[in-house]
This record gives sequence, structure tokens and C-alpha cells, in this order.
Amino acid sequence: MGGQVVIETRKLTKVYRDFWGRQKKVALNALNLEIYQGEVFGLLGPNGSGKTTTIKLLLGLLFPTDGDAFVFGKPAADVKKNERIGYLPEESYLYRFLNAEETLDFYGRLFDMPADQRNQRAQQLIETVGLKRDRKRVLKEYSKGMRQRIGLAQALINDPELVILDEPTSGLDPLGARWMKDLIIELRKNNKTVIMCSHRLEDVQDVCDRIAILNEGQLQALGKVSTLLEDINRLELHASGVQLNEELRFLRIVEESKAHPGRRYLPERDAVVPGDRAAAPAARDGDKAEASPHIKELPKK
Amino acid sequence: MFATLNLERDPLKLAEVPRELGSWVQDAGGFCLVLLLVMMIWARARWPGGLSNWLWGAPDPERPRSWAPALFKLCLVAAVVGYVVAGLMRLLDHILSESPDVPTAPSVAKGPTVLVRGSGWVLTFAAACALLAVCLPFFVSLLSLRWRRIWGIARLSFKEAVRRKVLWVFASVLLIFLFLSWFVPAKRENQLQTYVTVVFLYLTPVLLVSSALIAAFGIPTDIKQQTIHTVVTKPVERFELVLGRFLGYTLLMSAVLLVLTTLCLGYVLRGINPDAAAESLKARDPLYGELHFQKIAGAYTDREAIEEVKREDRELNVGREWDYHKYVPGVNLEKETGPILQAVWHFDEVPGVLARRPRVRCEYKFDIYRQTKGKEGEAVRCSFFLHTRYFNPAGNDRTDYYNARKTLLNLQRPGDDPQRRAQAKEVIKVLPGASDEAVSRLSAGEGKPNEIDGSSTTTRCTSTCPAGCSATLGMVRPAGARHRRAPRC
Ligand SMILES: Nc1ncnc2c1ncn2[C@@H]1O[C@H](COP(=O)(O)OP(=O)(O)OP(=O)(O)O)[C@@H](O)[C@H]1O
Ligand SMILES: [Mg+2]
Repeated sequence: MGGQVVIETRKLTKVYRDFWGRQKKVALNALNLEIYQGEVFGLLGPNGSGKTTTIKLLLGLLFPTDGDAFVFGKPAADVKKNERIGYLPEESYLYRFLNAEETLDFYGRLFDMPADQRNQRAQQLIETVGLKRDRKRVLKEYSKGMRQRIGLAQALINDPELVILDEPTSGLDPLGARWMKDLIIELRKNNKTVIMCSHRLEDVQDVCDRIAILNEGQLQALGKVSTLLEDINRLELHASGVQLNEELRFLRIVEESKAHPGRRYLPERDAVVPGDRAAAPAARDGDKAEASPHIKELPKK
Repeated sequence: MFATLNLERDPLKLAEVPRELGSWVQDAGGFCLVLLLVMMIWARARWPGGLSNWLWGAPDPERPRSWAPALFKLCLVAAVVGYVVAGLMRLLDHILSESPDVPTAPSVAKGPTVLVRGSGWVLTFAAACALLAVCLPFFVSLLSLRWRRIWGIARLSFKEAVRRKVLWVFASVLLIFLFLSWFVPAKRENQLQTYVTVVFLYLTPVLLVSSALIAAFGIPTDIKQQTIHTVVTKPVERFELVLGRFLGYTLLMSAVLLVLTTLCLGYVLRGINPDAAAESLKARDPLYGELHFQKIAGAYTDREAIEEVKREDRELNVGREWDYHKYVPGVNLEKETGPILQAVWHFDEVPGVLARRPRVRCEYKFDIYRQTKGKEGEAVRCSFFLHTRYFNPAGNDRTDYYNARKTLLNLQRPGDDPQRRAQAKEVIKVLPGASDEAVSRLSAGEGKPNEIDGSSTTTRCTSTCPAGCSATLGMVRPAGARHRRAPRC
């Protein structure tokens, strides 16, 4: 960390209201975040937990009900900040009647890029995302994964400093997901800031430096992946309620931690659980094998 | 090509532009000020720092007083002050004109007082200020517009319409169009006119409706399909988005218009009979006269005179949409009742070149409004009296003409015997200035309007409806005025 603050939210709150202004859903409740330059930040949470809402608030697509969001030190509603941002929407909301080249050309124009630069960048990105063969086909003929790829290319057209990815691996095959993660790691190497959200733990844990766990619009946990994951693993085993023996003695810690309900962050004392994922308890425990660390089984308190 | 259309309006004159512009500014400015005031109230309630901060952002200590917010405030204040001043001036004028010690007679003679005129100017100024204040954010953002973005969005709109096959709608319209001429009956010489009218009447709604539909669904579809999310997360101003769409659709519709007009031109010109070509493919110079109505002195029976006095509005309004659709009631030869009116066009300036021609061809169109079914198969007669500037309206000329004409018309009815013709000849001779040849031709019932020489103080010509029907004679338009509907009887 230690870098410049790229994103800052203060008590960011979003309440969806219906036509009459009646409260319908608190999608996000008083979120405080600081995201630093050069880190890969993950938003983790089950469906409907407010991840997309958070991202839309950061991009200025939604107006917050309360609180503030600042991107590059400017209010999120400021259009100028978008020069430095690349955004991959949850579903690739692209024009389906354009082909890959035209799509990139269009978004390049929106960044006011001159023609030769636009062209060069488009070709390069098409190659990167592996759509070289399909670059003349219109997007409505694309499969979900292909659309995800062109969506990513579109997000990177301006060589952004901050990349915001909403479920980047959705619709991708395992190889594609791997490729996406490599790409994110590559971005980090180039000192870009990446914010991604997902409901799949394995997406996040491979690439993210820090994650925030959301549930029902509440921030449940925030911290380094390695530390939080231990927490997660403990809780998961707690949910499955196995018999205690010497080997699984860390469960006792779970019970202890159960005595402290609410948000517990970065438990420093649990040296008991190996931080190494390969040695994670779920992998060792036979009848828990299928209980892969999935966020759906995350703290329901 | 459009000259063959009968447009229902006199053309806008250049001299009227400043006045029209002034009244437009006053109207628009008034709305703008109301909008601004409403927004001010809204912004005060919702936004720290009020409207100015909402529009221009909070005052930045690093950038001391940029010009835009300052100008905005200045305009706003000027507009409010202007309206107040204008209101006070009107009020003052009202009070002054009411007070008894001020003599009213001279002020009436002067027309609008200085105060009223001055308040008009102040009002225009204030309205212009309000207009400027409202438009200022647009102008300022106009400075930061990037045409590449706007052009990108315009191209997108264009491609969208093409690839979504919206243009097939136009194609299908054309298909129907090809068959249209089957269903349009036209007189031979009116062929071209009918074609152009059909094309015009058909294209206008089709283009209007389709462009309205395409344009209305552009951005809403973007929002609905959420494609807008990937666009507004780029550095695109909202204004650029709208402008780009606007530009794209304008280009699209221009292209469509170009294609359709080319096709329509082909449709119109593909085969025109010579009669229609002679009628329509000819340059004409319209002359617009001042129209007024007058009754014919001495041409009334007692009963008619009483009716005429009762009727304050002398020209007959038959409820057509524009006020210049005024009709003079025709003479019912059978009954000879009802007021007799003349429509008089006064031409202050007639092109001098006409004087050098041996003959001047005059054309006119008239509209006939039938109140009764009338007699079938009988022509409607209307008479034109062309007076030169030597005509003396104070004399008895007009009455003489009217009476002679009445006699003549009676004599010229079908089935006239030679004796009656001779009688007619006598009558026409009474008319001063009619050439002998014209008189003889006319009295033989062969006279055509354009064969009559107008060299004297007065020339008269009689014309009949080509369709040969009988109806109350309607308003008559002067020579060359092409903006009346063709007689359809
Ligand atoms: N436009 C909307 N109107 C009303 N409620 C909404 C709207 N968008 C989202 N919500 C609600 O807000 C909550 C959070 O939605 P959000 O899309 O942020 O979830 P998410 O974390 O992205 O979920 P997922 O993993 O399924 O993408 C949900 O309960 C959802 O029903
Ligand atoms: Mg989501």
C-alpha cells in the first residue's frame, strides 16, 4: 500500500427507491473505503450484496443517497475523471450491431484519440484478448465469453490508470478465467490500480491484494487477502460443524470467535491456521472436500 | 418544383424579420426567466450555494472568479431588473393615461406612447438577458466540446439506424409509393401539380413521423439496454451525447431525404404530357396585392342595402383556418339578392418590364365555396376589372361597369339568339377603353381572358370555371398569384 489514495468513499450509502420515493432497498450502507494506487482491490459478496451498486456509485452512474465518493480526488460525478478510468460492466453492455473493430474505434473516439493511435491500440487489444479471427463479426453473434473479452478490450482502450472490472471472469471458461487473472496481475505490474468484484472467492484470492467483503450492503470485512482468508476458512468449518479432534483443533478458535459477533478484522493471534492456502483445512478435511471456499457460505452471522 | 405547390401562406418578407425576432426573444426570454427562477428555488433547497454553484461548481479560491459564473449572475440580475423596469414603465404609462389632467387626444393620435415603446425595448433586453443566462451553460460547454466524440456518437447513431434495419421502413414506404399514382386521378394539365402535391403530402408525414420515432427512441433505448453505461463512463459530456445523436439523426434523415427526393423527382418527371408541361414547367413571377373588399355603389336594391347595413363584417368568413380565406358572395343571377361585394387587389408596384410588352399574360386561381348545390353543368362566371392608375374611383365608372356587366351576363347565357348578341355588343360599347376587336369577340362569346388588351383605363374580362359548374363565386386571387388551390368544382 502506501501509494496515493485513488478512491475514497465516506459513509457511501445508496437506497433504491420506487417511483413514489418510498424506500425499497438499502443496497449499500455507509461504506468507508480507501483504495491505493497500484493495488488490486476485490469486492466480494453474495448476489445482491451491493457490489455492482458500489462500482456504479464510484463511476458516477448512480447518485449516492448519502455520503461521498472521490475518485482521483474528484467527486465521482465529475466526467473528466473518466479519462483515466476503464470500466468493464457486469454484462458487457456494448452495441450489438458493431463489430469488434468498430466497437473499439467508437470508444476510442469517445476518448478523443486520434485515428492512428485508435487504430493501433484497437489492433493491439484485439490481439491481447484473442479475438483476432472474429474481429469483423458483429457483437450479437458473439458468445458470452467473447463479449466479455471485447468488453475488457473496450475498458483498456485508453490505457487507464484505474481499471474497474465488474465480475471479470463471469462467462469465461477456466482457461479464460486464468487468462483474465493473469491479465489483472499484468496490469498490477504496470502499476495500474484495479478494482474487481466477484462472488467467487477463488477469483479474488488469486489476484487481489486486499478485499472487502460485503453482505446485504454492509461491509463485513476489509483487509489483506491472506489474513481474511484464514478468517473465512474458519468460519466455513464452523458452519459445517465437524467433530473436534486434535487435527481440527482450530475449530475451537471459531467458537471463541463466535463469542465475539460482529465484524472481526485481521485476527492477528490465529497462528493456528496455516496462512498457506495449500494447507487450508478444507483441503485436508475429507468430508469437507466439496465445501470449497465459496462466498455463499460466508458469514451469515 | 415546389413552385407548383399551392402554399397557403404569403411569403415572409425580410422587413418583418426584426419584429418577429424581437417578439420571439420576448417570448423565449420570459419562459427562460421563469425556468431560472424555478431552478433557483429548487437549487436553494437542494444544493449548498444555490443555483450558481450547482451549475458552475463551488467558487474555487485557486481560480479566482472565472468569467462564466460572473456573466451568468450579471445576466440574471439584468433580466430581473429589466422586467421590473418594464413593468414599472407600463404602470406609469397606465397611470398617466388615466389621469384626467393629461390631455388624451394627442397621445391617441401619436399611437403607442414613448413609455410603452420604451418598455417594449426594455422587455426585449431583459428577455435577451434571461435567454443568455439559460444558454450560457450550453455555450460554455460548447467551448469544451470535442468534435471527435460527437462525430463518433453521430456515426454510431447512423450505423445503428442502418444496421437495425430501420431504413427498411423507408424502403417499404417507397414500395407503396410506386403504386400511388394509380389512385390519384388528375386532369391532364394538372398532372405535374398533382404529382408534386402527392409527393409532398406523402413525404412530409412519412419523414416527420419516422425521424421523430427514430430520434425519440435513440437515447431511451441506450438507457434501456444499458449500453449507455459504457458510454457515460467515458469522458463524454451529456451535452455531447445529445448533440452527437442529434447530428447523427440529422445526417441520416438528410441522406434519406436526398434518396427519396431523387426517386420522387424521377417519379414526377418520368412522363409528363405536354399540356401539363405547358401549365407547370413555366417560370412565374408572383405579384402579391393588398386585398380589401368593397361594396358596389348603386348596385343594391333596397333590400340588399338593408342587409348590407346589418352585416358589419362585409367579407364573408366561411370558417376556413386562415383569416385571409375571405370570400365575396357571388351574384345569384336567378334571384339577384344578397349583398354584392368586390374583392379588390391593389398593386403598388408592377414590374416596369411589363409596360414594354405588347401583351401580358395574367393567371389567377380562385377558390369556390359552394353554399348551395347550384345548377349542374353550368359554368361559374367571375369578372375581373383591371384598372390602370388612370382609373378614377370617384366617378361613376364602377357602377357603370357593374350594370353593363350584369346586362352582359344575362345576354351571354346559353341559347342566346343573334338579337341578344347584338344587344350585348351595344352594352359593351358603353365600356370606355374596350377595343373594338375585343368587344366583338366578347359579344360573340369567344373572348378569352388573356386576349384582352389592357391598354386603356379599364379592361374587363370574363372567365368561366373550366369544369363548368355553378356555384357561389369565391375569392379571386390576382394574376400570377400561385398560392391558391386550383378550382375543384
Ligand atoms: N435499479 C435498482 N432498483 C432497485 N433495486 C436495485 C436496483 N439495482 C440493484 N438493486 C438492489 O440492490 C441490491 C444490490 O444490488 P447489486 O446489483 O449491487 O448486487 P451485486 O452485489 O452486484 O449482485 P450480483 O453478484 O448478483 O451481481 C440488490 O438487492 C438489488 O435488488
Ligand atoms: Mg453485480
